[in-house]
Amino acid sequence: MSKMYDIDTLLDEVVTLPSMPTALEQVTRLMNDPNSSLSDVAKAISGDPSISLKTLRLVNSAYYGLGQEVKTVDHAVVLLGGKVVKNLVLSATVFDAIEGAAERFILHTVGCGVAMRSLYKQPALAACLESADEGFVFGLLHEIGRVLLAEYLPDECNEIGLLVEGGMPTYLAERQIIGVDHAEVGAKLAERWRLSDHIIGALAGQYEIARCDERFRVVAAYLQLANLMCESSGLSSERHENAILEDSAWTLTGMTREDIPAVLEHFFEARHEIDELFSMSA
Amino acid sequence: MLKWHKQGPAFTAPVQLPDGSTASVVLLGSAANPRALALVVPGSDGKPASEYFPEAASRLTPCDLVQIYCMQERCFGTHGFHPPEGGGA
Repeated sequence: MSKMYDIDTLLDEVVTLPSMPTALEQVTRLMNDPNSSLSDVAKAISGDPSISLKTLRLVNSAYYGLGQEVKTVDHAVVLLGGKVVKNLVLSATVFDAIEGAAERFILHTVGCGVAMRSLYKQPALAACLESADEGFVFGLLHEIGRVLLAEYLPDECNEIGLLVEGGMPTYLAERQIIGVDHAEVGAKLAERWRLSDHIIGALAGQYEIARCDERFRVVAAYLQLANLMCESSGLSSERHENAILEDSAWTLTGMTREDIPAVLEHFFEARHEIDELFSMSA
Repeated sequence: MLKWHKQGPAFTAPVQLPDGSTASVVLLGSAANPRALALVVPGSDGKPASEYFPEAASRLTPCDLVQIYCMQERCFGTHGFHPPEGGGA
């Protein structure tokens, strides 16, 4: 029988949350400093070769669709502006963190990012986010806690895998075996990286809307929908699909059944972007 | 999530209707063909009756609908999603 934890004990005894990557830390600080310039932001990104490279690959991907080749970080920063660049660096950081993870997991993660961006067209979600890019970041981050659980508790994750194969949703299997689910771990990582309250709250509450802070429920609801879209499309992080869409989550999306085909078509049309982004971390 | 089975050229999955009865979703082709997606419900005379989408959509949950349309894309769409291995999911 595995040892059961609460989130604080897990973080005290087993899982060490990685520090905020330097490039992301510097960009975050510079974005909050009225005396900083875009050139300072570019310099901070350029200081980390891996993040720089991924930032440039992202900028030049079909996802951004700029229509011109961007060869330097300076050019990317000037072209996109500070706010976009912050999400871009955060995305590059997540790609860096999941590098080497199972292909299935990476594909699912990227798929959820693209799904969240496609869902940004929905007024209820757009009212909660600054941009479609922010939606992409939410999708990318939604299972980041699983990377940490897999690293620190591999045996327990194997046990979790068996329960998932039996049809149990992953977060419930994690709670049964470890006492904590990856959403809680991901939210703690987001907290350590000083990401927005919105990201922290939505990650923590994504699987149970009733337990989610009211302020973040709409985004959490859309995360459920994005997750379901990906798993139903074969972009599942597990061999067995087990996504959920709670009735309360559906209500929060503000969508109707008639909206579903068009929303999905928009997502399906972005399939090539998923493949391209996937190749960055696989 | 829905359990899909391959039956000849079709993909089918049992779904629960709001009244608690069970029906079958039958996928036969792409979304371009309005007759390629049907809900087969038990009729009052005991004979199954087909209802086509999108009309039949009102009888299913949004969670089921997302899965059904996604499976249609996987099996018959053109955007490059992969059909389920071994014919079922």
